[in-house]
Amino acid sequence: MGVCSWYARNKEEAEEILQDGFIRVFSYIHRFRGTGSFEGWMRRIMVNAALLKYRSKSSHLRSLIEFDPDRHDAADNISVIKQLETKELVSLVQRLTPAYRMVFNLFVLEGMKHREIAELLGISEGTSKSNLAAARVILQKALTGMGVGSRYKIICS
Amino acid sequence: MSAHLHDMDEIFKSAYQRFRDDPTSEVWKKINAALDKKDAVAKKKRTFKRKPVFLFVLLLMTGLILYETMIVQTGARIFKKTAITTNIESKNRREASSELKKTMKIGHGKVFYDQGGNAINKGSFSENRLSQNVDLNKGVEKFATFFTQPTAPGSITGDIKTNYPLSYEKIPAPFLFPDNSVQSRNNLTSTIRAGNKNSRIAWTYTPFLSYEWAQYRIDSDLPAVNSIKQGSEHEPSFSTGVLLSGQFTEKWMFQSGILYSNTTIDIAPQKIYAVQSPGGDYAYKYITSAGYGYIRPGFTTAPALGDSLLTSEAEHTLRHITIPLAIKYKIGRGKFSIIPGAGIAANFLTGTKVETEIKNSTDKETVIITRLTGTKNLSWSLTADAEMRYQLNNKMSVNLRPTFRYAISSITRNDDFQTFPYAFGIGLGMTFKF
Repeated sequence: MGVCSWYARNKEEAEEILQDGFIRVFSYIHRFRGTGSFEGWMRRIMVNAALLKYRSKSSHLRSLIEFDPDRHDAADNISVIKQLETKELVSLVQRLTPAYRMVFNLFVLEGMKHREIAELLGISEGTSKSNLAAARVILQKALTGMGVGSRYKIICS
Repeated sequence: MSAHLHDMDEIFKSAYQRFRDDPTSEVWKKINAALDKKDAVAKKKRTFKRKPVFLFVLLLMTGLILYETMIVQTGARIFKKTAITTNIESKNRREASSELKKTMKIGHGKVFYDQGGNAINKGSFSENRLSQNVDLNKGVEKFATFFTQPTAPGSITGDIKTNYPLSYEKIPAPFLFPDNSVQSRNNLTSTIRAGNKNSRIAWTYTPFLSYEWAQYRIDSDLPAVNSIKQGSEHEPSFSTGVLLSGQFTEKWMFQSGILYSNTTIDIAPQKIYAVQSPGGDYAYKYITSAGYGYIRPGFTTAPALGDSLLTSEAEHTLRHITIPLAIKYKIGRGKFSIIPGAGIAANFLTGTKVETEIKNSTDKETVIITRLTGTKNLSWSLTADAEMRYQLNNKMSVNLRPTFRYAISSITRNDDFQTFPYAFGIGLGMTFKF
């Protein structure tokens, strides 16, 4: 469920991914050959389920976190980020657009290369790079904003 | 800045590793329900998949049983006829013997005849058994006298041909199941069976052409599968070849032959990306349901990793040589008959081809991929058909043949991506007797 939460927009969507993932686990359990850890295999299945969900929706909504440039100062305060709860970090990632979220998660959390991400998502490597950069900027600024004040407004859609 | 990015990535990664969340209880109920439903669907699918196998095995077993039964019955008919003939002729002979009061001279189991057909052997018989010898090669029945122990001297004085209107010849004694042994019966049955096979199989050959509608099932966990499925549209395909049939009973026949099949699939326009090919250079990877190939366009320099190109609609062709083996059952006795059958087929891949047009902002070029990576050279499928045959004359028939073919082994080598094609077809052919 933890993995699914990172790839979903909210808890309901995370549960849908979990459900789809479990069905896939039972469907493809015969494919697991025991060469790696079962946890890693299941994690991959869950990520695949999330990717399928992403593809089926294929929505590229604008970010739910909108940066207000007028209220931005350049200070990047990492120590503030460290103080945030894990749940809050998940919440921030969930508020990214699906396209940004996917690229960010696959690159940062799963450690995939841009080439692999591009192939997996059916986008170009350049798009993958730009999505990652945009996601990082949004998250960075949101995190800083959370630390130093409400320079960022959360847009509900 | 980059250090901060790295720190941020690490923080998120660390959070990803330690984050745990529990789903609501509703999720487990939904998963249970979905699994139950999936089980039911899977069971149905398994049954559907196994049905052709069961049907084929059932047909095969039934055929064998009927075939064996026919052999036994044929043998039994011969034995019965032999026994009847023996009894009748023995009776006749006893009566004749009684009336004529003649004694046949014999010597050591041999019977000699004069030119008139009269037995001239020395010795006599008190009991004779007229039995039947079956010519195993031609199935012609002949009669002979078997002499047992001579008891009294004497000679035949009458005209044996008049009183014994049979043809006689010497038979090694004992010649027909003297001990009623199983071994003797089996030997004869085997010989009759061999004789039947040689003489009773009616061979025919059928050149035909079949129009086919092909589809496939993909078994894969990869997310790319859906786009491949959605982007494919199946074009009319065809099979042609010659089938050889051997009818070994009135109703049953087996069929084999050689077929050439050409399956065509249309692939929707798509964006392809440059990846590193097995040769080490970078080329655009084109993925199909049967495998993948690499495109190296001539209008541009070698692509860099991640570069993309647009393709137009592509035509994907798979060519196979197929060798089927099926068992068939003939229904109907007149000019019109229906001959359903089921069997197995070995499909040898002879060629693949993908033809498409690639374009960038300024140029376009037609490319043909003649070799797909990851496609198996040999695959197996189950076949079923229901041939409708109309006999034009003694030598020639015309037939209409609805067919169904379903792959039981994947045509792709990759375990993570297995493609099982199936096809419905309708064929027209002419059947000729040899």
